[in-house]
Amino acid sequence: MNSVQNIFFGLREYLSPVLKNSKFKETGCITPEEFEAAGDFLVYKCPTWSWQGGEPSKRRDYLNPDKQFLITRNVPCLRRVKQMEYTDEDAEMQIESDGADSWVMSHSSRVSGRPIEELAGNMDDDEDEEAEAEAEAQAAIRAMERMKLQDQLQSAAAEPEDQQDIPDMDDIPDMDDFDDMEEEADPATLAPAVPTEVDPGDKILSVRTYDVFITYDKYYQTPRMWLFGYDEHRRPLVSSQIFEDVSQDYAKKTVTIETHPHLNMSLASIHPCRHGAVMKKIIEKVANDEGKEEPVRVDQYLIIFLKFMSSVVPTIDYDNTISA
Amino acid sequence: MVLQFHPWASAVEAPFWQVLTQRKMDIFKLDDSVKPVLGYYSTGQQVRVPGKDTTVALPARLCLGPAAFPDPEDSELSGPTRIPAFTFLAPGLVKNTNTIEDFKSIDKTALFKMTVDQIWDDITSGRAVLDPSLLNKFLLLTFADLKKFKFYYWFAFPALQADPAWTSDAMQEVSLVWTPAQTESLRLQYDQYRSQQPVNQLGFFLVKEGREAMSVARLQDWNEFFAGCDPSEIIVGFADPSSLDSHPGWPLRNLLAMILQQWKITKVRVLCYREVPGKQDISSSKLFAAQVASYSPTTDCPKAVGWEKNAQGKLGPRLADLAPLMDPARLADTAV
Repeated sequence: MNSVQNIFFGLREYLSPVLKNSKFKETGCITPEEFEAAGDFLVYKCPTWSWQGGEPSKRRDYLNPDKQFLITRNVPCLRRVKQMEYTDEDAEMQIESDGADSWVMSHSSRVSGRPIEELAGNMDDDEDEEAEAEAEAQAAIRAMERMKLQDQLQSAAAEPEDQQDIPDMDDIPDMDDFDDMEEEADPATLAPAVPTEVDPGDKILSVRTYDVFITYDKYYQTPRMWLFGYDEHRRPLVSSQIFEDVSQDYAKKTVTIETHPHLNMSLASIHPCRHGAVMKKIIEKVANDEGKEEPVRVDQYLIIFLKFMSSVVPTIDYDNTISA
Repeated sequence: MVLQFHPWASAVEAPFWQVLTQRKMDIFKLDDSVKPVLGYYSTGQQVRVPGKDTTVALPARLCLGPAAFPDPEDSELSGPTRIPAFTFLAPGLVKNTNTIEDFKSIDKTALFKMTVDQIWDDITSGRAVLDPSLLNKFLLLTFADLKKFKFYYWFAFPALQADPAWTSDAMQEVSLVWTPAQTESLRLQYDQYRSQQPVNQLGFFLVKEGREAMSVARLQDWNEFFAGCDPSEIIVGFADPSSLDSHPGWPLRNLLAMILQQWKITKVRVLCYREVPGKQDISSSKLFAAQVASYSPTTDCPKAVGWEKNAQGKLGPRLADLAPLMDPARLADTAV
């Protein structure tokens, strides 16, 4: 089933013409050249991101051989989405800080403007496409702003010890032969940290890490984000675990497990079917907000895209800060 | 107090196992001799807990990526370009066995000893002065179950034991020791050093403190760089994978062993260089003084420790089960 689907996707991608002329302001879509320019800008501003060539056999000839996709590694993810809480206080400040923007006031739910079922139900309906993109863009912008606000409310303090979960299963049952292995006690080796202070109401379950990829999707003519997660013991996460880090409005609907276009491996991916429309709205909103003469430049596209994506995976803390 | 070091936590990227699989099938075949691999690491990082006034220290990760094996078509030693920006080199040795039985019965002690001997030889011969990344040499035992997409592995990060042990005073933030101008000068000097030196020089370096301006040099420039300096002015710096406020990372162990062996230094100031990659921020770097009671000349290789513990906290191998991500039969199940 999946492989049939993959063949179909592959064929569809093959048959799609490469987008040549810039339409990013009208459609939110970008050309491969614009993807490269935006990627270069991202790497320049956020050097934890880097270009990769990937599997030579899977190279796309409309992309630079050394710049097939972007990657950032070991991105910490401290807690699960369901542990994220927003207080009423935040919400009020949110509205105040947004001033007279009418669309903000009209949406009372905290993550998405409308339940995703409603959105998903209308997915193929062209008439509602615009409204859905609008709603999704607004939800994304709200989430982005909320995170900024949270950021401002926090201050850093030192808490050096790593929280460790008690291992709950035997990793390798047939490895008994190794039990005789012992190393002499070494006073200069720091023993693993024991959690000294655990707040029962807000225990950090585990620090997961993600490798985050951005590829160019030729069919949708937008970037596409892929996630590969590891648990605190560096075991790869399975899809059900990854869905715990995806905003519940998106999990299993717009986030699916598919074959990475440049690696022989299946990864969680955020489906790009409405990325173009949502990006268009966000770009318009950003341009209006900043009230600048000069419009948003296409090389800033991925920075904006990453802020949009952080509303889908709010707890995965990759670098999308433009200041540096 | 005895100086304690924060051990490495291995971090294999899933695509590494794919590359290992390809190498095994196309190149190594039944050859299970020891092969070189290239690991990398970043400096330690603490992340803020959302909504809390606390931060969490992330593990000191030694990573293996898809570029860990040299490109078979590239005869050049292309190591330096094979690791991500803002990371540091750790050369390693991998032994991939053909069967699970071989993996279980492998002479681990002999392989560990071989790795330790190489490190000691690199220190005493001075090779590690010219290429300090050799101090990070590690060992990796693997068995790839290609039918089940399961990968068994066990890392060892050998560290030479000092006898007597090094002691230290408390670690201090650089801002408590140096003025903002000095710290900024160090950052600029190190960035310049990074842009001019080959990547194997970046993980370990020398620092000289000036009233305003700092200077940075290679380990091999020790004599000229510290000429006329009082021993108390000597500072060795290292890219510190530890993010703990109180303990330095593992790479410092072999560096201290080399300093003692090469320059007979029994008291030294240490800079734990920690940066936020690309953000021009080194404020989480730490400083402390390390000392050892005595130095007695020796040619015998010291004892060493460094096998990694598994998820159960025991000395034993780990398992990466990639069947859900690579097995075509399993992929169909997870398709949504």
